[in-house]
Parts: sequence; C-alpha cells; structure tokens
Amino acid sequence: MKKYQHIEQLLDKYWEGETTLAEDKTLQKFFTSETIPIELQAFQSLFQAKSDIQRQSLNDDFDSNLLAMLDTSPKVVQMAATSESIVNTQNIQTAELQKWRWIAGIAASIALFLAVYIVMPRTETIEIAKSELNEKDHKEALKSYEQTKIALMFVSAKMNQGVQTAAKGLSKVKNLDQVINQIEQ
Amino acid sequence: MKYGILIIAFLAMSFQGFSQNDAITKYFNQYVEDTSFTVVYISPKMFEMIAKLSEDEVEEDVQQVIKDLKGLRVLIKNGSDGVGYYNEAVKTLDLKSYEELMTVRDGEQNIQFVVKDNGEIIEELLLLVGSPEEFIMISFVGKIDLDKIAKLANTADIEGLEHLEKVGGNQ
Repeated sequence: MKKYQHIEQLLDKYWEGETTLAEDKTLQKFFTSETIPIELQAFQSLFQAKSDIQRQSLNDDFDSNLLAMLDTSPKVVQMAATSESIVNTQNIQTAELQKWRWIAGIAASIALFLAVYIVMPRTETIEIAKSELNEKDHKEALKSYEQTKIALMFVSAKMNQGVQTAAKGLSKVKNLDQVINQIEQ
Repeated sequence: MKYGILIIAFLAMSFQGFSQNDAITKYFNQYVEDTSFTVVYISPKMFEMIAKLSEDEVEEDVQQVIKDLKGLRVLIKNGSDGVGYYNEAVKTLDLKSYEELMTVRDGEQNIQFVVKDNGEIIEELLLLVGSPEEFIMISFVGKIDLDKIAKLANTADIEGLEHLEKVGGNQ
C-alpha cells in the first residue's frame, strides 16, 4: 500500500505538471512492468502509450538514410524546392508588387509634374499660333492693307493738293500785294 | 424693363460710337450694289488682322497710321457726272455734324475734307472729290492723325486710286 501511496503522490505531482524527468520514468516503469492495483489501472493505458511513443525513437542512421533518399529521389527534392520556391515567389511577388507600387506612385507624380510643365506652355503656344493669321486671312489682310494704303495715299495726296492750291492762291495774293505795292510806290 | 431699355439704348449709342456716320453708311449702301461703282469696305475685324501682319510685309509709316484705324469705306464712280454725285453726297450726308477741314476748288475739281472729332482726337475723316470725270468718297474711322497721313504722300510713291480696283476689286 505504501508503494502505491508513493505512486499516487507522484501522479498528483504529474497532473500538476511538477514531476521531474526521473519521476516521470518511475511512473512509466511502474505502469508498464508491475501488477497494477485496480484503482490505478485507469492510468495504465496513458503511460503505456507514452512509453510506446518514446520507444519509436529515431534510429541513429535515420538522418543518413533520409539524406540518401533525398539524393536518390529528385522528386522529393523538387517538391521541397518548389514548395520553398512557392513560398519564396509569394514573398518575392508581394515584395515586387510593393516595389512596383512605389515606382508607379513616383511615375504618377512625375507624370503630373510633366503635365503641368509641358501642357501649360503648350496651351500658350497654341494661343500664339491661334493669334497668327491663317493663310486665307493673311491674304485678305494683305489685300486690305494694300487697299487701305492706296486710300491713305490718295487722301494724303489730296491734302497736299489742297495745301498746294492754297499756297498757289496765297502766292497770287502775295503777287497782288507786290503789284499793289509797286503801284503805290 | 426700364433698365432693359436703358441698356439697349446704351449699347446702341456705344455701337454708334464705333461705326461710321449712319448717313455715310446709308449713302454707301445705296451704291454697294451698283456695279458701276468701285466699292471698298474694310471692317474693324480686318484692321485687327492687318495689325497682325509682320513688319517686313508692311511699310512702317503706313502701318503707323493704319494701326489706329477701325474702318474704311471707299466709293468711286468713274466717268459720268462726278459733280452731280458730289452735290448729292454733300446734300445727303449730314455735314453739319462735321467740322470742315479743307474745301478746295481746283479747276473743275471740288475737294472737301471734313472731320469729326472728340476733343483732341479726330475720330472720322471724310473726303469727297467731285469732278466731271469722277466722284470719290473716302471715309476713315478710328483714331486719325492728320499729320502722319499728310506726310505719307511725301515719303512714298503715290499710286492712283485706280489701283484699288486692281488690288481688290469690289468687296
């Protein structure tokens, strides 16, 4: 009974998660080897299963075997590689996407500046071009210029003619003056 | 409504300010359709276009006068009874609203210059010429500098008015 008391104490500790590795082993040994009292049989399966799992430990040559397998079966390697590469490409893709978003953002702002600096002067040049005469208007303007010029020349000539006529008249008056003066003298 | 009438009246007045004397327009229009007349009309719009001609296409002293002009009407009748048309024009046109600048009788030729001014600035210059051979009416509107116009004939070769027809024909 005393022995079982000890086991029960250990179990209580175990449930609390306070057992040491040595105590765990004692429990395992107890449940796998000896005859177990009925009140403790409920826990037997648990510790037996636990010891089974622990027994299925890896062999020492497991690593070398695995590596040999990996060498001989490229599929596995490929699978591993592809799965890795999928993860990698996904990472790369998101990274690329972010990078492109940055570039697109910068490009958009550059485009905006270009729009401001190029389109604005362009509208000015369009206005200048508009203010210049098209071929038909240019011809009309030249023709009208010539006509106006002739009319102006004619008016100018007539003005001068009037002045000259006046001068002629005045010179007659002058002559008359001289005649009168001569008569008087 | 009252304001509307006022605005219309104001607009009409301001338009009249820019356009040539109604009597001249009327007299001018009377002969526009007559093919025996040489008719030239140059609109304010056309003067704007003339102002845009490049410097090497125009003579500077001429352009100096033209740039202030807003309208030109020329009416020429060659041949019969210029004196008759002259007398009709003097009668039809309300010359009282003009200031007489110069009246010359040189032989059988009658020349009359009248101007309409707004204080310092001459806004319209009307020339009437009547002789047994021809009748000529020329009307300039805009800002007219008589000195500059008078000097033009001294600086350049004078082309006869008959060149008008060669240049433009009827407009």
